[in-house]
Amino acid sequence: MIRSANMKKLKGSSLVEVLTAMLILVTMISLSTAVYVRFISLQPHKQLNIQEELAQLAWEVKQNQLFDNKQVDLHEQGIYIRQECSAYQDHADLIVLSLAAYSHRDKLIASHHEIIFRQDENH
Amino acid sequence: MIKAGALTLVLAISLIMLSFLAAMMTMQQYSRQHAAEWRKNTVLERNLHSATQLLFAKEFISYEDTAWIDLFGYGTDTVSIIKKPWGAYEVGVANSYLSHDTLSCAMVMGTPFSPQERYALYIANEDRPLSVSGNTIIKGDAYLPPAGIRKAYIEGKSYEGPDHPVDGKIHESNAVLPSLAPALLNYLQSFFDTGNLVEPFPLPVAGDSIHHSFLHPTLFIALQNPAALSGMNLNGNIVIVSDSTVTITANNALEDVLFFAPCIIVEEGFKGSVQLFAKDSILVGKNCLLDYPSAVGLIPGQDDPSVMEFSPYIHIDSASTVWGAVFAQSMDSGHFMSEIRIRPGATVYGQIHAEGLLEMRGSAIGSTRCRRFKLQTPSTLYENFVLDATLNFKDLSPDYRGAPLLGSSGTRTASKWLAQ
Repeated sequence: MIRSANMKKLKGSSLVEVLTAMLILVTMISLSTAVYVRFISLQPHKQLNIQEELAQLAWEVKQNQLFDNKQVDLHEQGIYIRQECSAYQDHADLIVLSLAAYSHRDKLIASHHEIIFRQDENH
Repeated sequence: MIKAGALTLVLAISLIMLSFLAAMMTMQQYSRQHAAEWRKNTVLERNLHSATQLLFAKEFISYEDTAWIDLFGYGTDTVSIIKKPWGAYEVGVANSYLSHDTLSCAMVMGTPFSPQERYALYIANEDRPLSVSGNTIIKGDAYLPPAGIRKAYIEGKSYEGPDHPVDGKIHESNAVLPSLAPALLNYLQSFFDTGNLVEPFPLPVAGDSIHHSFLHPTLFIALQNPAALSGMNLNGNIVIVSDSTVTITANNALEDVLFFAPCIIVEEGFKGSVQLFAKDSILVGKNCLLDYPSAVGLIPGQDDPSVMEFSPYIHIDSASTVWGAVFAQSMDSGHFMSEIRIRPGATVYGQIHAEGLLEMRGSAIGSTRCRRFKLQTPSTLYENFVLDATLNFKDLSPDYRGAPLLGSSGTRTASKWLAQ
C-alpha cells in the first residue's frame, strides 16, 4: 500500500508543484504564441516591402511616362495596388501619381504619392 | 517520470523564455522605430522630390517668392520652394517638412534646348553673306541671312573644309537675334549699383575660406578699389561686387561665386566655377578652366559714357575653356558695339550670344549666335568672315543644360546640386 502510494506520488514533487509548473508552461507557450502573432508575424518589414514595391512601381511609371489609372492584383502577396494619375492643379506638365496597396479585405496597407514632371521629347 | 524540483526547473525555463521574449519584443520595438524612421525619411525625400518637380515646371513660381504648399491636400505633406536668379542661371531651394524634421536641397537650374534653339550658328540678317575660310567647321543647323554662306580666300588661306560648309539644315535668320531673358537681365544690371547692397561683408584675407550655403541669404562682399583676389577659398552663395577692376589670380579656389565689376581680369591658369559680369571688359587669361556652370557676361550700361568711347569686350585667351554661357549685350546704335573674342585654341562648351561682334578663332561646342562676325588680322579688318573656327552643336552632350538667361524654354532641370 505504502509502495503503491509512493508510486502515485511523484518523487520529490507534490502534485500542486507539478500542476503549477504545467500552468506556468502553458502560460509561457500562450505568451510566446501571442508575442509571435502580435509582434513577429506582423513584422513591419513586410509593410516596408510593400512600400518599396510601390516606390518601384512609381519609378517605372516615371521612366515609361505612362500615366494611366489601373489596378494590379498581386495574389502572391495577398494585396492589390491601385494606380491613379491626374494633373497637378492646372499644370499640364505636372502629374500627381497615387499608388495605394490594399489587402483583399480592402484594408489600406501602404500608399505612395508623388508629383512627376511630364517630360516632353526635348528632355 | 517527472524528476524532483519540477517547479524550480519550470521557473528556470520560464525565466529563460521570458528573457528571450523580452529580448525579442525589445528588438521588435527597435525594428518598429527603425521602420517608422525609414518611412518618415522616405516620405520626406519623396515630398522633397515632388517639390523639386514643382520648381522645374513652367511658370509655377516667380522669382524670390517662397511658396508653401500642401502637396496632396492631406495636410501632412508640406513643402516650401524658392526660385531665385543666380547670375545667368537660377537656383532652386526646396524644403520638405514632416513632424519636427526638415529635409532641404538646393540646385542650380538650367534649361533644355528647345527644338528652335538646337543650332550651331545663328547670325543676324544684315543682308550680307557669311564668308568662311581655312578649316572652318559648322556642324549642326545654321540660321543664315538670305545671302547665305560662301567660301573665301583670306590671309593666304582658302577654305579647306567639306564641300558643304554647313553640316546640317540651313534656315533663314531674322534681323534681330533672339533676346536675353529680360527678368534675369534686369536682375544682373541691378548689381552694378553698389549702393543697393545691404550690409556688405568685408573681403576676407588671403588664405581665408568662406563656405556659404544657398539655404541662407546671399553673402555680399563689396570692394571699392582695384582689388586682387589671391589665395582665397570661396564657395557657395557669395556675390562680390566692385566699383573698380577685380583681378582673380590662379591660386584661388572659387566655386559658384558671382562677380560684378566694371572690369574683371582672370589670370593665366585659374580653375574654378564662377560667373563674371562686367560693364567694360572681361579678360580670361591663357590655360584657364571655368567649369560648369560658369558664365562670362558683358552688360554695358545704357547711360554709361564709357561705351561711347570704346568697345566693351570679352577676351578668352588661347587654351582656355569655358563651360557655360558667354554673352555680350550691346547698346543701341550710337554706341560702340560690344565684342567677344575667342582666341585660337580656346573652347566654349555651351552657349555664345554676341549682340555685337564675334571674333571667333577657337571652338564653340554648342550654340553660337551673333549679330556679325569680325576677323582682325595684322593688316585688315574683315566683317562677317570666319577663319579656322569650329561651331559644333552636334558634339554637345544631350544632357547639357543651358543658361536660362539665353534660353527660351520655360521648363528647368537640375544642372548642379549644391552643397549645403
